[in-house]
Amino acid sequence: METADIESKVIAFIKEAVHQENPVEIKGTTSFNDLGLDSLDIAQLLFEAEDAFGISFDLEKATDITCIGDIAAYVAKHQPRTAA
Amino acid sequence: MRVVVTGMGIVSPIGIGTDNFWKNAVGGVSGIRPIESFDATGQRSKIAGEVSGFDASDYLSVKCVEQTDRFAQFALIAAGQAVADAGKLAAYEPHRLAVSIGTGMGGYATYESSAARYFRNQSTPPFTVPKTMANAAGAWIATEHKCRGPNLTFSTACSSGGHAIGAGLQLLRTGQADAVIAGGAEACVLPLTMAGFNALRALSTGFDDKPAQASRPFAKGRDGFVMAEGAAVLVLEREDAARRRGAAIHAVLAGYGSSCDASHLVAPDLEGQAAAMRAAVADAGIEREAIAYVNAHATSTPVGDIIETRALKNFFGSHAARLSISATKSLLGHTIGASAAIGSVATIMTLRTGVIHPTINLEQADPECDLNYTPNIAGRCDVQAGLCNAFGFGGNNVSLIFTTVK
Repeated sequence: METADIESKVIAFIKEAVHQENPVEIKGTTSFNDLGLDSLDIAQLLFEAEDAFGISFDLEKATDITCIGDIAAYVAKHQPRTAA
Repeated sequence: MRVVVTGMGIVSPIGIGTDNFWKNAVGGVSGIRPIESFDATGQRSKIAGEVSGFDASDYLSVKCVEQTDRFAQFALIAAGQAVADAGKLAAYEPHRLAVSIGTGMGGYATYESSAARYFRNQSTPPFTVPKTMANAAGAWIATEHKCRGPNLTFSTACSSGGHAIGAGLQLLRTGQADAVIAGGAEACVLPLTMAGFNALRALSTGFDDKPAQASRPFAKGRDGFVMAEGAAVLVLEREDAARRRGAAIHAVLAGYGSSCDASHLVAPDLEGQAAAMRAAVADAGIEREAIAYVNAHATSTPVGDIIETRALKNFFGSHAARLSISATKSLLGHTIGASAAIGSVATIMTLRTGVIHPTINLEQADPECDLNYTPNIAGRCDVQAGLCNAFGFGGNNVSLIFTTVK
C-alpha cells in the first residue's frame, strides 16, 4: 500500500474513532493535541489502530507518535505483508 | 437532625426509571429470561435478570460509553435520574457534594474480556484498569455532577449498596457533606463470573425452561439465586437544608446497622443478620414494633431464606408474624452490589404508596418459611417505617431503615 493511501485510510479511521465535540479538519499534520486527546484517549486510539491495521505499536516508541501522519508512517513501516 | 431522600433513580431488569420499576414490581412482573448478552450454552445456569435491550448510547455520550464498563453506565444513568428528581443540587458548594457507591464486582465485563484477550496473546485495551476499577462508577458520577467532596466506594459483595447508602447517612450526620449521591451498581451477568457462582452451586439450575419461575424466595423447590444486573441511586440531604431549597422529600433515611458474622465466608448466619437489624433499629431510635414492612434479602437459596426467616423471628419476636415482607429478588433476580439500593427504592415506594409489591412464585411456601411474604399479589398496608436487609458473602450484613416524613 502506498504511503498516501495509508494516510487517507488512517484519516478515515481517525474520523471514525475520535468522537469530536468540536470537529476540526483532520489531515496528516493534525496532532493529537489539535484533536483534544488526552493520554488515555491516545492509548485507546493506538489500541484501536492496532486492530484496524493489523500492526502492533512498540509502546516504548509510541511516545514519538504525536500526529496523524506519525501513525500513517508507522503503519507504512510495519504493515503486515500480504500475499501478492 | 434527620436525613432525607430527595431523589431516586433505578436501572433494573423490570424497568428503567422509578415509575417503570415500581409499576412492574407491583404487577409481579418477572425480569428473568434466557441470557442474551453472551452464549450461555456451556453454563449450568442459563438464565438471568438482564437489563434487556439496554443501549448506553441512548443516555450517555459516545466517549463516555467507550470509556465505561456496563456497571458504571448503570450507575451513571441511575444517578442522573436521582439528581434530576432531587433538582437543584447546585444550591450546594461542589466540595460539599459527596458520592458513595457500592459494587460487588466492579467492572468485571471489562476484566473478563481483557483477560480473554491477554490469554490469547492479543494486545491489552488501555481502558482495562480504569473501566474495571470498582471506584470508576463513583468517579464518573462525580465528574458528571461536579461532586468535589468525599467519594467513597464500598465492596462488600451483596451488601455493598447498603453500606454505601449507610455511609451517606454518616457523611451527612457528621457534617462532612451537604448532599450525597448514594447507591449501588452491578453488571456481572458474565461467563466467568457466572461459572464461578455456578461452581459454588449458588445459582438456580432447574428452571432454565421456565425462567420467570426460577427466582422463588421462601418457596418450596427453590434451588439457588438467579444472577441479575442493575443499579439504584438515592440523593440524600439533611432535612432542614432540603426544605430550605424547596426539595420534595420522599422519605427519611432513619437508621443504618451493620455487622459481620465472623464465622464463614459464604454461609449465612442468624446471629449476624439479627445483629444488623438490631443495630439499625437502635440507630433509628424507634421501637422494633414500629417497623411494618421488611424488604428481605431473600435470594432464593435453600439455606439463606430459612436463616433470614429465623433471624427476623429472632429479632422481632412475636412482631415478626405481623410484618409485611416482600422479596424484590423474586422479580429481578439478585443484583449483588446493587440489591440493597434497589431494595431501598422498593421500601421507599412502599412508604409513599402504601402498596407492598408481591413475592412472586410463592404458590407453596417452604414449611420453614412461615411469615407473611406478600405472596404473588401486591398487598396494602399503612407503613410508617420499613427495613431493608442485605447480607453479603464475607458475612457482611446491612440493614437500612426508612420512615415516612411524618
